[in-house]
Amino acid sequence: MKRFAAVLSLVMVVALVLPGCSSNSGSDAAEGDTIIIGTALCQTGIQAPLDEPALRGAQLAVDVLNENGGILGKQVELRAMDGKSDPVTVGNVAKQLVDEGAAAIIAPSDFDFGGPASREAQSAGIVGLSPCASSPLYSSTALGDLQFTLSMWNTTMGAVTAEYAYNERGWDTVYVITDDFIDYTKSLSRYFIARFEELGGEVIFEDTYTQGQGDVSAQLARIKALDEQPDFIYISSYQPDLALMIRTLRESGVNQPVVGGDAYDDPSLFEALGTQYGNDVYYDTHGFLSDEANPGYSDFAAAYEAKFGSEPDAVWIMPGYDAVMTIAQAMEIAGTTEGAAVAKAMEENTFELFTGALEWSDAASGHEPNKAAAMVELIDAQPQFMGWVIPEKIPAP
Amino acid sequence: MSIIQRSLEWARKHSTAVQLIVPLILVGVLVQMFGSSLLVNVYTFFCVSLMMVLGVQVFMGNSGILSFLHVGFVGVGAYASGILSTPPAVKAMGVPNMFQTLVDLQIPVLPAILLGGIVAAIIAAVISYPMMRLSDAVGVITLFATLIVFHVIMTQWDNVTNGPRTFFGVPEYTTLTVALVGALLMIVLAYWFRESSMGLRVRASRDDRHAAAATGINVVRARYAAFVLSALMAGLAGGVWAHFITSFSPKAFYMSEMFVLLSMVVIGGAGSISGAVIGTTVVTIAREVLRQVEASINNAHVLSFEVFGLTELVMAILMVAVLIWRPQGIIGGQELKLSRFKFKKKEEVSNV
Repeated sequence: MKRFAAVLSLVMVVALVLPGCSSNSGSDAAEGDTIIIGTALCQTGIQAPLDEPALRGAQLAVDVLNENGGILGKQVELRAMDGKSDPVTVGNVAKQLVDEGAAAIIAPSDFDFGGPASREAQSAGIVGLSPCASSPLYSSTALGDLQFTLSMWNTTMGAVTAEYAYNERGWDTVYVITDDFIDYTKSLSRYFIARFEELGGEVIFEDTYTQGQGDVSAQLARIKALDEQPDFIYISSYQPDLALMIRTLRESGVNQPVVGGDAYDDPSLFEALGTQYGNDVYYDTHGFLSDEANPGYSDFAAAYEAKFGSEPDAVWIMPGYDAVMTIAQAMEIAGTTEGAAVAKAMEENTFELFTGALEWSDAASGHEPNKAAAMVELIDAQPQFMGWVIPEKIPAP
Repeated sequence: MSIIQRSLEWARKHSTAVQLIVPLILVGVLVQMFGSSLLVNVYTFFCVSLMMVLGVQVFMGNSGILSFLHVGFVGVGAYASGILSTPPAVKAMGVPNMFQTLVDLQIPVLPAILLGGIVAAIIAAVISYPMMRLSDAVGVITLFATLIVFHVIMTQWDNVTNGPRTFFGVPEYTTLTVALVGALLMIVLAYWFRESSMGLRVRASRDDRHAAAATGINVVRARYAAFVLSALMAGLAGGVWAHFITSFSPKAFYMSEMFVLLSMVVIGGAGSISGAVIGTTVVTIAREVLRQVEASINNAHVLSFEVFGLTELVMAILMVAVLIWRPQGIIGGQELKLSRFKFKKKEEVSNV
């Protein structure tokens, strides 16, 4: 018992001293000639599939920046700590990065996980930027006037496909299936429907599905029983059940086009649909890995391959790259790394990014991102880039 | 003098509670005075976790029934306290479908936290009596199923919880002091219950249900009391947590959080309050230290690869090691007591 108590107290002392030390040594670096950008991106846990590629993108961007002279003549250091898909850890990580002298924080791509990092950044008076949080909550209204997300909001994502279907293709009626398991799918359908009805389209029925249910026969029966078949079907869901839903519909002779959001941008979906069912599927997403969508993509891909030894494998790399580049450009324009000035530069300028041109509204209107979405069509299970689309009107969040 | 003597006597008698409370306060004061902001945050969250763990321990430790449900009561407390204390304007914006009566509610934070705990206790009181009749394995499964029910309600009841979407804008209130006071309160509550005659009856039913029943203990009622009290404590912990994190969604009260909570209870030893405190301490310290090590290795770029996930790996190994060598937890169901130390010393002397 005594030995145990001794060991315990030793561990406690070490634990108390260790974070203290690291924070002290770190703060010296801030005054030196490097600019620290901190990332609290989650490398493990449920958030990792989104955040892990984003970190690789950010690392590549920092290398590119440093080769070209850094920011404001200073070298850039990317300090990455794992947020562990836990809001408390993300908050602690951000706090620590601030203590270590970070000039900006890159937050996880989700309001729940990214919010704590942005709140810490806000209270420290520096800019926080999430590469890919698409919830309209990720705004200056909820998080503070120095906080941004690089992604289009779900409002834009819903509006783009609604306008594409109604204006470009002349489809008037839609059958909507919403996965009610998570916020993302529920709000995406809501914005899609809002814009589609505003344009004059008709929603025949709003059906629901729950991720993990594994059976779409009820939805299928309802579609089959309709007097008037819809022009297309909007499915707001995500993998793994999304593939199952599309396959079941197609197998049962429901051949209308299927439309959805960025959750479709998933190689496992293309694989699961195969050439037999992977047609007539349309979605909008954040970017597209080709020269056609982004002049300069081949250079990016080459640099990526040189650094990581493989081709870019997920579109989520690009927002991470863009996040660092946006912060760098804003700092150059502002001429300083000071939070308020950088945020002002971000509000006032248009950024040409791999994930489309981007403008933010001012802090009073929530830093709403006005951004182009990439429309993609699946042909024989191969995604084909159709073009960048900026919606004419975005529904209110 | 007599007051001092009496308080010393009291401290000796209740040495377990004193031995747990004094270091907590001391470390808290030290952290507040000298700690970095990160350390203050870590210690605050440690105290909040401790509140939750003690909530679980009061039921699980005394009755011996593994409870998966308590993280659900944490959620109930968090939502109740959040809804009661968040300004109507924020709720109207953030929770579009909320019942108007709920939107209009606003009371100060502290009563909101207390009410959150009471709501959790009431729900526990309503649903748990039949569950307490179930035998151990069946009871565990029922509690687990009930957690799933809680989760479904939280993700689907748009008008109250905002469904799966984040509930945000909860006023920040939990400082280190608040969390520390909460944790101390929980220790006192847990200790009081353990030593009370009801606590003794629950523990008797844990060790031998049939023998306890044969001596006239109403096992179901004893367990029921423990369950309702522990739900109250978990609900209070949830309220304090909500005002620490300020925005959350139902996924914060489900499987992964439940496992973190249970790992703290199991590593320390579910059978005792000291075990719960030590388990929480060990897990918190291990997580933080490993996180620092992991980050230092990665940012120093000494390795050609990155070691993200080291923390989880070592934590898993720690858990397995504890389960192999000390399946009852680090301190194995015993309480820290002054007399125990003294007894050991005498033994050593006599051996010499």
